[in-house]
Amino acid sequence: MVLYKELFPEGVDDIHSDEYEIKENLVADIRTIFKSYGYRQVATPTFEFYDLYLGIDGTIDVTEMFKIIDSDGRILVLRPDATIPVARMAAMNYKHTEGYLKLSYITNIFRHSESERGNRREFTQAGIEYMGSSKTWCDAEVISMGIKMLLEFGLEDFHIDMGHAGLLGQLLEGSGLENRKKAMLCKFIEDKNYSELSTYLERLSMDEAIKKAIIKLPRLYGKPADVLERAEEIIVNEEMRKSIENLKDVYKILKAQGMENYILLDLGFTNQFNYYTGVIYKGYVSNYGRVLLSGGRYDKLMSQFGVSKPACGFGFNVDQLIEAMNIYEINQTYDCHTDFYMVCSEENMVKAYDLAERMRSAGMIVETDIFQNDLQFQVFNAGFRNANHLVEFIGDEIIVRRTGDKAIKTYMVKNCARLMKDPMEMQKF
Amino acid sequence: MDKIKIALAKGRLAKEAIEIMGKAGIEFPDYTEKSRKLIFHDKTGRLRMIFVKPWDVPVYVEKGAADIGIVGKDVLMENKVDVYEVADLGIGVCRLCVAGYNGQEFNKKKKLKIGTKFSNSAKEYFNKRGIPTEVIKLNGSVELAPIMGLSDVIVDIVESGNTLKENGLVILEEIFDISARLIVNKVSLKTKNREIDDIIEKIESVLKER
Repeated sequence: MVLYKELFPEGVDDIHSDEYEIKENLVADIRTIFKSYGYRQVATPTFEFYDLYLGIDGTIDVTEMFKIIDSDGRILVLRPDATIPVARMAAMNYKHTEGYLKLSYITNIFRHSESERGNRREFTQAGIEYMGSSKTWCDAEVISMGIKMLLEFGLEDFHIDMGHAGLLGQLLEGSGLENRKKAMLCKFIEDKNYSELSTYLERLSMDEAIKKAIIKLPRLYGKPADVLERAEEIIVNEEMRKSIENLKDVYKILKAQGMENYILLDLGFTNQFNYYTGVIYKGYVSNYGRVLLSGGRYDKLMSQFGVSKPACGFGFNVDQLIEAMNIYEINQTYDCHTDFYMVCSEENMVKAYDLAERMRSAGMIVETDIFQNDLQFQVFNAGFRNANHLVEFIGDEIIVRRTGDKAIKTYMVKNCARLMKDPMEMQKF
Repeated sequence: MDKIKIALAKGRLAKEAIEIMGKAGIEFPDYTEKSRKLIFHDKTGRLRMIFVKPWDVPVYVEKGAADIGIVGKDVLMENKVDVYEVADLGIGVCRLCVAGYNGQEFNKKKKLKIGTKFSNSAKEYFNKRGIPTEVIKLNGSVELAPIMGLSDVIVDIVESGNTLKENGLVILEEIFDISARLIVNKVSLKTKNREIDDIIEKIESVLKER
């Protein structure tokens, strides 16, 4: 018989203390950086109505959402995306504000994914949303912030790959193709499936200039200067020119900020199933085969909640970031420890309690236990708790043993008041 | 760490692919057909070839455990993965077909029972046409299913059609053409751009001469 109470469902995991410290420290760093750029953290409910996600053009596949039936029969969904609820929240509460909204979140996301592929179904995502500005300055700031963060975390060999969500749609605008055929083209371009793209195009009747541009589109990736120069060849209308100019402008700002070495372009991003409308990007780290950071401009999303506000943002998967940092061995290993493990006999109970409190407020990690003639266990337990010092607060004496080198210091219990004044004294050997 | 990893599936496809790579100047000197090793290095030391099962090639590439893979279109259509599919190698050519008894017709009144290894492709094909189906997943000798009364038709790869003929079955419909594809991890194409582009170009120039 299998005991399911001892097992986990696929795609979720326990996080143990040492690992949790690493994650929490990283999250704290992320929060500090978000804050320093003026982003204010928000949280949305863990579950919301299914309708919220269902009504949005091009979001998460319905089969990827975890669904719950509410007591009144309505369908609820565990948060499958962070941007949509944050946009919903901003639209509902700041309808009449013209000012910029800069919101950040660090939250868990739940997604069903194909079984037995090693994907996590619950993961932590951190990100920002910048609402109310359509300036290229805003796009550039968000991207350079992403770069700064990756640098701050000690990653060096990474790139932000930029494209434009509008390009393909603009290219196909005058083609007269039905949506099903457009979707096929999108898929081939997105997958850089050059051979099937050209065979498929041969069968379609449309303007030759557009066909040529479509063939070139997925090949337009690499160093920005080179891609932008070659991009001239695919511009067939004014809208496309504007999009390319937009990309150029964002790149210009990033270059001026000294970020050009981290930027790549790929005009073949097609944005087939998403809410993005303008500059979009993905961040990669060498030797880690998955997209680490992604984001872009989504000027139409908020209008689905009745407020027309331009916006852009990015998010990244914190768990994957830790994986990537592990590859480069830049995560600080963390050993959970206790500074002082204090055992007191009954007559010293009050003094020991007061001293421990005093030491804690001085910033030390202190554990206490009552002595019941169990010194052997206490020595073992101090080791098990990974304590740096064992304090025996027994009888007339306070004996401090440093576990590392077995050094010993002894105080008299009657002199405890001196230690209360200067608890740090106990660390000095 | 920056080595390029190529995932292949052992068998005839690998043999042909290694031949093409050899002509493109990508050689694995310690590779022999009979070797039971699963990892081989090329003479420059920059490339590593690994052998996995055909169905696992896309998984290795999608997750970035391998940078490049060579795999049949049938596998890519059956299990959708997020990879770049940059070249059609034109080898391992065959078709995915619906086969059954001569003159058999499908109707919408009754569920069509299909014996196949390719359950997703079969369902997608018939769903699009609005024909209700019941798929029975089999792992081999699929031709037996209609004969033994397990299914009405089969969906399987057909090369010459001889196996079908010898078992009294015929091709009823063709679903799609299959050939081997060169797939690339979406991040590797960008982060190891120069090396991977170089490999693709070399392979493509060999393909053009064929």
